[in-house]
This record gives sequence, C-alpha cells and structure tokens, in this order.
Amino acid sequence: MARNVSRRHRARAGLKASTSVNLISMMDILTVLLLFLLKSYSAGGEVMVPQPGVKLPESTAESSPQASLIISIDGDAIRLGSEKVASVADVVASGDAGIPSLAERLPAAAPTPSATEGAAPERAKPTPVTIQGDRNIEYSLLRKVMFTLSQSGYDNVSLAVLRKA
Amino acid sequence: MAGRHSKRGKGHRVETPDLELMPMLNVFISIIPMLLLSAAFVQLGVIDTGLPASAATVVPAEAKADAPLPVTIHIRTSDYLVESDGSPPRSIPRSSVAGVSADPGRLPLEAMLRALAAKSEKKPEVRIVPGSHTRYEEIISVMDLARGAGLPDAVLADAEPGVV
Repeated sequence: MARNVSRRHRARAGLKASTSVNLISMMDILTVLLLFLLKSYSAGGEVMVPQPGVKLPESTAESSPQASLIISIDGDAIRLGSEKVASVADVVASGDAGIPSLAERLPAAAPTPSATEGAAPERAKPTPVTIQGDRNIEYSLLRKVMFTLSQSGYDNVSLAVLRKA
Repeated sequence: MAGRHSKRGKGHRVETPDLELMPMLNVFISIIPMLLLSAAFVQLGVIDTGLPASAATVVPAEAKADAPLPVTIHIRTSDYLVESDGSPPRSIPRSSVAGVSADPGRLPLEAMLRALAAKSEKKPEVRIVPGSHTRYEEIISVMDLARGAGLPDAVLADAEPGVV
C-alpha cells in the first residue's frame, strides 16, 4: 500500500524510480578469484591432464611433463592418446612379450626418426613418450607396453605421477 | 561517470561520484571462465626412466674403474632383496597388502639406501627389479625412496630368469 502511494507520489513529481545493484561485493569476489586463477595458471611447460579412469600414483618427483605422446593404461584398456588400442584383459591373457595393436598404431601417432626420410639432424631425436599408468596395474602389463615402445624405437620414456603436495 | 547529487545544506550540492563497474565486471566474467578452463589444478610430474634392461647387464670395463656398482632392489611379495657391492643380498621384510604408505619395509630400505649413498661421492645407479605382479604404485614408491635417499638414478630392470 505504502509502495503504491510512493509510486504515485513519484509519478506526480515526474521522477523515475532508479534501482542500482551494489556490485562492489561481487567485484571483490571476482577479483580474489581472478588473482587465485592467475597464480595457479601455468604459463610455461606442458599442461598434462590425467586420462579419465586413470588414478596415477603419488610421487615426490619434481620434473615437469614435456610435450609427448601419451599412453594411458587403466584397469580396462590401453589408450594411445584418447584412442583405445587394446583391452587389458586381452593383453594380460596373451603370451606375447609386446602388444601388436599398439605397435601398429605408434608410427601413425608419432613417426620415429628412422621412419622420416631426410629428417633434419635436430629432428632426429626419439619422440618422447609418457605413460600414464593406473596405480594398481601390474608390472607385467607395464613391461609389455615398455617392450612394445622399445621395439618400435621409442626409447625416451617417462612415467606420469601425481605430485605430492 | 554517473553522478549522484545530494543536497547538503541550503544551496550546496555535493556530487558523489559513482564508479561505473559494469565494463570491468564484463571483463572479469569473460576472463574467469577462460582461466577456469585452462588452469591445471592437479599438478602432474614425470619420472624419466629407461626401458627395462636385464638386472644382470654387464657394466662396461671403463665404467667399472671409477663408478660404484649398481644397487639392485628386487621387489618381492614378502620382502625387498637388496644387492650391492657384490656383498650377499640383504632381505628387508615388507607387506604388499598393507598399502604403499603403511609398508613396514619402507624405513629400513630407505636407511639402507642412505647408507649406500653416503659410502661414496659417486652415486650408484639403482636398478629396480619388480615381480610380474608388483603394482605400479609400489614401483614408484621404491623410486621415491631411492630419490629421497640421494640416489636419483633409478631404472627398471628385469630379473634374470628364475631369480624372482
């Protein structure tokens, strides 16, 4: 009722109702958030994201990841990048020392120096490979992946871990 | 800049400036989602390692002269078996069921590795020989122990057939 009266009063006086939202508190929150994000933003090095389903082991290792070919091993599958190349159950069951399906797809993902004809000498470094293995996989499986990499000419291998805080 | 006029006294008008925050707010609202998408909240690291070689790999003659012999750690289900300097292997009981952090063999193994690291200025290479069923987490844990003890060069190695 009182609001109607005041509205009528304003209308008679020819005044417009002005509403202003107090944005200062919101700006404070956004500024703090922005500073936090800028602090955690990594400008240098390679930002590597763990593959979904892979629980990496924790480690005190301090080396930062480099741009590399990613092979992830979880409880179900071995993936090259995001593409599934083999099933863990099949690989464990097979008596092969390596993983043929992985070996077939490696050259397409990152050609080895021997595969690139006339490559410049500085490009003749082996492509680095990072293995993102689930913390619970067995060494026999990891060994098969590493054996396959070795047979395919990829000698520069790193193991991805979660840095302990 | 918008202004609000307020009357203070008779005939005195004091202008109270109002900051126009909307453009700044728009910038913040654009930047924050972009940063949220690109920020890495989980810090990943890598351990550079060589591909597994045999634990019985022959050390080259020229390397033998000044470099200490490698330390070999076999990770077995019930113990760690440490071989170094040609001395008889020493066994450290462990539990593979307790989990990496609760493993009772961690402290004695670390102490032994520290003692080996303190023996000479040149740090010996550590060869980790896991069993086929050793979990990846346990391997990384032993690598961490070696690094913490001052032996940063830890590589994976395969056991000689029939040893583990």
